[in-house]
Amino acid sequence: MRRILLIDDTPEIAELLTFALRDRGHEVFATGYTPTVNELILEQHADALVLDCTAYDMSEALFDMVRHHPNHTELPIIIISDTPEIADLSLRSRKAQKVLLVPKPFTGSQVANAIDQLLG
Amino acid sequence: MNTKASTPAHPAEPEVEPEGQESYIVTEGKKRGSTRDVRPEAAFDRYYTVLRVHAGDAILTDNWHTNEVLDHARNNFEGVTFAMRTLEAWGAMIENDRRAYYTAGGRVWVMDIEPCEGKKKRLPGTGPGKK
Repeated sequence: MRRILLIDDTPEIAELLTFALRDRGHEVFATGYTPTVNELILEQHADALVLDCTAYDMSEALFDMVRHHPNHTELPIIIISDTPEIADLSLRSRKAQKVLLVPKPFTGSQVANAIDQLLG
Repeated sequence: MNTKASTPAHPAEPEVEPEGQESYIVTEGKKRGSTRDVRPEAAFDRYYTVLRVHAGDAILTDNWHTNEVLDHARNNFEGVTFAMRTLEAWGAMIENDRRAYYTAGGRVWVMDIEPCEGKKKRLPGTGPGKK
């Protein structure tokens, strides 16, 4: 069982994604967009972070915040994006590590598989 | 195996920046063992309200796992209106306008559904804490 922090600003999607990930045996803590993401990761002892914000740049801002935290440089991160090509270019420019993009529309199993892939 | 030397062989050389991943985008397609495929005909613009999630004709064993899975299914689906595609993306197989099936916790659950014109608020008396 892994502990997943899910940041999703659509409550219904957060509910469904939480359910899908719990169905795969993960413990999930879901919340809306928050600038205190690093504190939450520490509080929840998260093994991985899933970001699903309405706009990709919101997810990207959170991604940068997390990566700038000294304890979270290698935290596995899944970003759900409706502009995966743009997001891909952006991550390439950052030479980002331990991150995967799940394009919208997405399924719960895609996200779960991406988590499995990053967590090994 | 750790292939990184603890000290650089040629100290004068600049440090090599870490390379990015080969690929970031998770590829589409069926994952092995997945039951969560979305049919192409699952429409974005058709909506269903989930009226009830139950076990159908099955007799449920009263144990923690079964109760937990059913509670989750009820809390997450009952009373909520979903786009058809969203429902299928989370594992529901829509048989017709009145019934869908959802596999979770090793069991097929029955969903009583009804077509809806669009998104609407969750039905009263449903959701977490409601039985």
